[in-house]
Amino acid sequence: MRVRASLIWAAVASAVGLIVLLGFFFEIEALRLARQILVDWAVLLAAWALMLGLLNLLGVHWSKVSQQEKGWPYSAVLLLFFLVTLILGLLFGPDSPVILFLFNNVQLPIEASLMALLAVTLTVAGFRVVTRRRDLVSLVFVGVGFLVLLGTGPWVIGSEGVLNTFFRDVRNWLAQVWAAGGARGILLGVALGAIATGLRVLLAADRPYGE
Amino acid sequence: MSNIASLQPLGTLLAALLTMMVLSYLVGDNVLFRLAVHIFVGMAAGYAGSIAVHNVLIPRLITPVVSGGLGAFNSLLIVPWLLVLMLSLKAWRSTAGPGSLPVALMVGVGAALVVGGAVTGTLVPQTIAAMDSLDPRAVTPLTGETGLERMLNVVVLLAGTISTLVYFQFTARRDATGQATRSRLATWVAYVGRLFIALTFGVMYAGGLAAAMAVLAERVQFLLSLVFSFFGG
Amino acid sequence: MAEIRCPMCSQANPEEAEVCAFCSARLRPLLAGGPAEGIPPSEAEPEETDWLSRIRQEAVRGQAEPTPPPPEEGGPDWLSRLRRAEAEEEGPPKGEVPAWVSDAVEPAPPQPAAPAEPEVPDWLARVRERKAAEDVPAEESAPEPEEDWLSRLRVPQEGQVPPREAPPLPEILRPPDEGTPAIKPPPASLPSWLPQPPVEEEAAEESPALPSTPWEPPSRPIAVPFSRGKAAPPPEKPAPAWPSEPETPTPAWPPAPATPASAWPPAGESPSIAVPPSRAGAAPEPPALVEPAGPEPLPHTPALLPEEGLPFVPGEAADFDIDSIKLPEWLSEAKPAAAPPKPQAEEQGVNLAPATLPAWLEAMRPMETFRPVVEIQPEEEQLVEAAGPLAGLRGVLLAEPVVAIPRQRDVGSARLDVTERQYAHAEFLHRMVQEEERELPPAAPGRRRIPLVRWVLSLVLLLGVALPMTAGLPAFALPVLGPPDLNPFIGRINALPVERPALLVIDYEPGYSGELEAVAGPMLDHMISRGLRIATVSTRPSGPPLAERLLVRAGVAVGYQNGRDYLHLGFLPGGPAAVQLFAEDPRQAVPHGYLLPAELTSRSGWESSMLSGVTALSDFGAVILITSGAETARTWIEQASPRLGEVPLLMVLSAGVEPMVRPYYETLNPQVDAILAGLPAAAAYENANGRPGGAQSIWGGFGSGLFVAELALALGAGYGLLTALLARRRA
Repeated sequence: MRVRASLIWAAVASAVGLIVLLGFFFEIEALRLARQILVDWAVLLAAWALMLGLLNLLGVHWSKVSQQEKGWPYSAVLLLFFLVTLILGLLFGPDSPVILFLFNNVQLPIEASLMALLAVTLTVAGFRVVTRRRDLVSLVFVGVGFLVLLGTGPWVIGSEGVLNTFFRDVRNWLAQVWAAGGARGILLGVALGAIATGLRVLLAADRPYGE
Repeated sequence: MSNIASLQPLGTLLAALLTMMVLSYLVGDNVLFRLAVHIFVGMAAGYAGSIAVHNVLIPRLITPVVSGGLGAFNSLLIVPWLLVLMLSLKAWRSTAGPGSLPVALMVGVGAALVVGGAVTGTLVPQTIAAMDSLDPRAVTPLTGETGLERMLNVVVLLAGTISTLVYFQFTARRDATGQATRSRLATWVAYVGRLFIALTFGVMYAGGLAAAMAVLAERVQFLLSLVFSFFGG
Repeated sequence: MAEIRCPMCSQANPEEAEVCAFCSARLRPLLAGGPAEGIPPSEAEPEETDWLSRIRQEAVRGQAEPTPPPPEEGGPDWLSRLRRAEAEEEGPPKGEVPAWVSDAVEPAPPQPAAPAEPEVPDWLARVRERKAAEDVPAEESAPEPEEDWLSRLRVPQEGQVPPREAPPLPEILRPPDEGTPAIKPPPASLPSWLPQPPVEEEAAEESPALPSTPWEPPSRPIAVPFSRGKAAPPPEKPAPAWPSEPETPTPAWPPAPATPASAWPPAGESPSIAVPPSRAGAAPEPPALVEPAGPEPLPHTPALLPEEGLPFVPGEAADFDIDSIKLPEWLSEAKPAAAPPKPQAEEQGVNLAPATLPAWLEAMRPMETFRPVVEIQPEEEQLVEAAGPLAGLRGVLLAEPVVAIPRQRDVGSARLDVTERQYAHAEFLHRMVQEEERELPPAAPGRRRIPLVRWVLSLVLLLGVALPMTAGLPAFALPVLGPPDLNPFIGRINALPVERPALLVIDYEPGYSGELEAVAGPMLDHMISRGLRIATVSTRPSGPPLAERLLVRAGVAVGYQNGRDYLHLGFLPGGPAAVQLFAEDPRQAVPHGYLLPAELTSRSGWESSMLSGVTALSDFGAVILITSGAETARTWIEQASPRLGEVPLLMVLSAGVEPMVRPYYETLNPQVDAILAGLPAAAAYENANGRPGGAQSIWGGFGSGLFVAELALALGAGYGLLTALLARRRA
């Protein structure tokens, strides 16, 4: 009888998942050992999958450069820094001073600057929300944000005044009670969704690993 | 190492230059910004690959073989090797079939961990916490609130939790016209939950803005310190 | 003047007319073998040998001599039976004889004078004139109204229903008079087995040549078959030896001609067929056509098929000269029998309706749907044709409005019932097709919009952040009172055991380093000030270098050393799996360290003395997670907290993550023991430590930036409110 390969993959995923899941609820040594081995293999495969992803990134930009598509000079720069960093990291190690130099002076400043842009973007977005949208949900969103900002940052004057203290208490009340209630509901909903999604995979209803 | 240390001013200049290139996006999308972003992506990818090789692949796959020889190829080593080789076949469409086995293993493990963690780490504890909050004898551990003040807070907390959960319930019935509608109570409660979600997101928005503002302040401070170091000596 | 109705066009014609003046149809049918009307008996062929004439005669004699001829000796039985059957054939019942048949025998009573005819075209007038000249006066022979030609053939049987009296024999069926020349085939044209007519030179000479045209309409109208009329008087010739039974009625065969019956077939030539002896020797004769009275020329009818090689020119009279056509002798000698005088008793009878058929004939008609019974209106009520060549005529099939106006079909017509939905779909499809065909104009270059709001806000923000750092203004006071979460956190740090290392998990992006380095700074200062040993691990590739930055910043001043005071365990990929693996067995999870000191040759941080007693997660003094994402915090809470035991889990969070982690913290059984979130908490922590750090260095810019953001939101709200009010006022 010829068995379809997809059935084998589904059986593997379900069996492995069942072993790992049972380990959450049963403290059995054999089960714990099997679970540890499987998780160890998963971590190893995750690292190798990261490498495959990087190779794919290399291939995509290489084709852009070789075919001189639109924006190919940027892809060339990307490939240059990618290969330089990878080679240096493989040769000297990721904890070498060279890599740290590049990390501290190239990657980190760029990433931090991108995060700094977010401050302007969020301010502009908040300004546009209050000027254009006038529904209750938007009003609650912006209003609560304004109150929390008032209670978070220092004031020009009267940072320790009564008003500042009042807004700080309002901020704490909003963040610790009102937002906490909504956050708990969101967390429960996320957990339920994660359980449903995970069970679908374990029961082979969803097969993201392919056929 | 000393060579690298001597290059620190150059590194600082390089960092400042790249910071300016990125901040130029405030004016508009331009070449400098795109160049800086592509440099970042390339470098981050290269660094991630190098650390994955050094910290995971070599210690787990290569080092046992190198140090133990072929005798180290026991079942606990052959299987990972096979899995890695099979996963490599995913790179080509014609050979992608066998690569589904290691992917299935990863997916199965990940799904089980997510399910187990969600149940034991979030669902049960949070539900118990919600129920415990109704205990009138309980005292808020942080603020020390008791009595009516605490009950009011607990009511608000529970209302937020329940209404938010109701909002995410999209089960409806078909009425006589065939349209899927929820009951009036569920609709109103879901609307309240939507307001609680908006409130939560408002708090998160303010927190994110504060975090970004802190980063902006750090970047501006970095630039100003460099300028001052140049002009100030 | 008495009139007779044309059976074809139902037009009124003079009583004596033989041919309709309008459509040239014969008004009186020809009798096969019978004496032609108008043809004097003296002109009849003295020797009629045609078989039809003979039959006619026999039929006539059959009435007088009902006794059927004795069966022929040696003759076949089928022929005798055939003749018997023919003798027994019924004729039309009395009263059902069409009037036109009766009129053929008994002309219809004279009709009142027709009203003044409308103006007729010239060509029609000429035809009428010609016809009028050719009209034959009333026939000579008086009909015998009371004598049924069929009854003469029949022999009344004893006890049987007497046969119904048949109307008088029509002309076509009457035997020709004596002297009436019988229609003889041209000499040598009959088959050999037919009795040959006597050779007559005159007949040969008179036999007209065949027309040159392939086909020409007959110069004289062909007699209507089965037209009945008064039977001619029985000839004096002996009746044919029909082998009919004496008691069976004789068939309604046309009477045999007066001429001796021709032998058909000749007994000598066809011995298989029994021929009555009376027929022997008689030459076969073609049926004698009863020609109209008077040798009037037939109306000119152009041939439909022109002669080969000749162009067809309608109206060209050369080929269509009636006089130039030589008729065969037998055809030319056939004279129309005189129309029998109409009985006086039937003068008041109704005109014949051409479409009315006798019942027995009606029964023979195969299908009735083809020819529905058409009720012909009286002439006065008939419409007059107003267009075309038949203009002015009555009783003409109208060309309008039947032809001119297209008829609408009744069932299954072209009317299409379209519903609204179908119409909408059709319109939609039509629009889709039109959209496909429509040529899109080239897209106009988009007008470049100036992001004025973004420029202004960016400039103001940058100035606001930079101003306190440069000018010292505005000056923001450092927070004295921290958030309520700060003191529990500080207490936890104070409660950490010194002998056990603390695990610092660095799981944030380098982009958040500006905030989280400032937030985690006072904590690290606190921990270092207490002399706690710190081990770092990360599930992100960028975690180990960030950990190095943190610890170098915090501990270099006090001489913290890598490998002795702090250690980087490295990078652990896999997300939840990595956390689960590390929580199960930390040593196996991270076998290789990061930036390990040189003395650790195994490249594994577990060889370090500071981690000598650590084999599980619960062996650490605390697990402190520094993260910028709620997902990472939740992963560590879900995967690691079951393995922590009594080890506290502390979190240093970005300001935006705090709301999502607080539910784990603010419970009676918290899963997170303490949280430190946001720059204000860090600034307060630094204030509490008494050691300024990164938080205080950016506190002014942070506060100024937040102030600008608050101002922007307030101004935006005001602007929005104003525009809404103005819009409402305008509305």
